This record gives sequence, C-alpha cells and structure tokens, in this order.
Amino acid sequence: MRASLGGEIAHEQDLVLGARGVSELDLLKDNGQSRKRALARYRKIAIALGCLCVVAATIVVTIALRFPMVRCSVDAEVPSARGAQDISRWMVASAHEPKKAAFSDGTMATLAPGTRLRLVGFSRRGAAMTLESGSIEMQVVGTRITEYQMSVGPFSVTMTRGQVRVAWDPMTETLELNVNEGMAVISGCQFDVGRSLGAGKLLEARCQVR
Amino acid sequence: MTRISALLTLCRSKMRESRGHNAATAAMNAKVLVFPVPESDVGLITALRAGHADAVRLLCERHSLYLKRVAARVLGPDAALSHVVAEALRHALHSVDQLAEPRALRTWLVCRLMAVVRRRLRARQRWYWAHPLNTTVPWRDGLPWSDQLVATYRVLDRLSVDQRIAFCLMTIQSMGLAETAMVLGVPLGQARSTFHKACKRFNRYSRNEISIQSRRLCG
Repeated sequence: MRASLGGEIAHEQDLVLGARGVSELDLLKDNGQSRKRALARYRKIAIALGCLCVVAATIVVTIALRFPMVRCSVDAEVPSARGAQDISRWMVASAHEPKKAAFSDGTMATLAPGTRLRLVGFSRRGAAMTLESGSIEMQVVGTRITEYQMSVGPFSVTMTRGQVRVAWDPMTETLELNVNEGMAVISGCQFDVGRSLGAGKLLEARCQVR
Repeated sequence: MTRISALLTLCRSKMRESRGHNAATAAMNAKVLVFPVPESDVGLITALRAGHADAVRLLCERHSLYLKRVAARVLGPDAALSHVVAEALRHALHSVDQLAEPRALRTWLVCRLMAVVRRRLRARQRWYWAHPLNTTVPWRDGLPWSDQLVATYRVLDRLSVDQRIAFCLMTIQSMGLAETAMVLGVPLGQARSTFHKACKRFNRYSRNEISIQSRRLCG
C-alpha cells in the first residue's frame, strides 16, 4: 500500500507529461536569447540604480556639510569638538554667578545663578534640553532648520530664533516664558499641541490638566 | 654556374607556388562530411565536446523526457517544468567539459537538474514567507491533477529542500539510495538520515490531509 501512492503519483505524472508537447530544444535555443535580453534589461536597471545611488550620496554629503551636528561648550566662546558626544550632560550654575553655554551654530545660553539644566541630545537642527529648575536665557541664531527644544516640567518650549527667557519653579510648578525677540512655541497641558508667542510677549503658566 | 643556380631557385619557387595553389583549390572544393552521433552516451559527449551539429538535439531527444519526469517528481504541478529542464540542459552544455565519466551522463544531468530545482524550491519557500495567508500559489499549472497528488505536494511544500529532494527521488521516482546520495552530493549515511527525517515529517503533516491520510509513502 505504501509504495502504491508513490507509484500512482509517478504514473499520473507520466501520463500528463507525455501529453504535454513542449520541446526543450526550442526553449534551449530561446533561453539564450531571453537570457541576453534579461541581462541587457538588468544592466540598464543596474546603471539607473547606480546613478540614483550617486545622486542620493551627493545629497546626503551636501546636507551633512551644509548642516553639521550642533555642538556645545560651557563657559567658552569656541565650542569644543567633543561637545556633540556629551549627551545627557548635566549643567549647574553656582549660586552666585551665571553660567554660559555656547553652541556651534552661534546660539548662546545663559543660566541664571542656581539653575539646573540637562542637555539631552544634539542634532543638525539644534539641541534638546530639560530645565530642572531656575532660569535660562537663550539667544537663538535662526537658520532654516534651527529648532531648540526645552522640556520644562509638563510643558515643552520650542525656539527657532530670537531671544527667549524661560524660568521654571518646581516648588510652585510655574513656568515663565518671556519672548524678547523672535518667537517661541509652547505646548503641553492646557496648550495641547502648541501655541506660538511673538516678540514682546510674557507668559506665566501652571499646568491645569491633571 | 651562377645562371644555373638562379634557374634552379626560380624552378623551386614556381613549384612551391603551384603546390600552394593546388592545396587552396582543394580546400575550397572540399565538403565536410558529418557522421551520425553514436548511440552511446560516451559518443554523445564526444560529439558535444567536438561541437557536432546534431549533438544538442540528440541530447534533448534522449534525456529531456527523463529529466522532465524527475523534475516533476520533485516539483510537482509546476507550469515552468519545461523551462526548468531547459535551464538544466543549458547549464549542462556549458559545463560539459567538467563531466569526468561520460557513462554516468544521466546521473550527472540529474545533478545539474537538481541544482536548478533547488533554486526554484528556495524561491517557493521565499514566496511562502512573503505570502503567509495566500493559498493560491502562482507556479501551479492548470492541469487536472488528482486530489491525492495535489495533497501530497502540499505536504511536501512544508519539508526542507534537501528532505524534499531525497524523499521524492526515493519514494516517487524509486531511485536507489546510492544514486540519491550522489545527486544530493552527500555521503550515503547523510542521505539515509535526510530521507528518514523527511519520512517522519511527511507522515506527521499528512495526517491533516484527508485524501492521503490513510496512505503512506514511506515507513
């Protein structure tokens, strides 16, 4: 019984294959032509892909050169080359004197005495920071892509250009945002997706969503 | 004296010219006689290596049906069976100089065929990975195969490539273990082990197929 299933399958296949009249010789002759045609087609595709890769690489290199990674150095006018690797850098200004941080795109940050700030990350657009407590004044040099993000308690402040002062009191959970020049966008809590503030605006806010 | 030697040189050069002319004329009038390719595989291989005009046609005539049957045993219902065989024959023609033993031509051709079949089965496995929910396979031919054949190959689709080849050659094609090992390019013991693993898996999976669940291809 066990051999008969294999035999039956083989017999059925032989019957059907005997009825199929395809000459392998014709296919063999045609295979060479179709192979040449396929190779020619693949060659064209390969050339097109190669060109695309070159264009993409050129664009990437151009962007990398045009917009380098932002770096940061503290209490120095010229940012250090290793600044970009100092992710999650903790900055504390002493109780008596302010502290200055310079970014490689020209942006300056001044920490008021007693301010505690964490640099979370850098990108080609700017930097991400978390203000734990105190006050910071940002002088953002705006380009087309500049964007500095600052997390302040439950709020988030985005600065693209101008001079902005951000203060946060963790005891009272109060945010103070003073836009002297340029503009800033605040989001989170009652501001939801974001509200922009123009030059000369002062905002004092507490989170009302619990 | 000088005159005599000059005459002799002239005669020799004339003779040389006339001999060359005769040879060229003979070559132009010559006719190439094509002898028939001998019946044996050794003669066929010799003719193929010599570039005989009829050798490729004879190779197809003598072996393509057998190769197609072997391919059908392993691949099952497949619309591109003839293309698979043609591809295998083309590879064989390209590498005919590598054939060490012309008497084993048929087994060597099956080896070449299995290389193509293996590629096709791997492509099928990739297709199954890419289309886990699709039950209509694109390589099926439109021929009215019986339910038990379709079910058998549906179960075989779940085996690994080497297991499937070993299983199909030994159970459906009734090929011997030694030849199967040669075709797979593995030692005898490994071929036996592969076959037994394939048997176990086939029997396990075939329990879910109604048309073949009561019948077994191997122990």
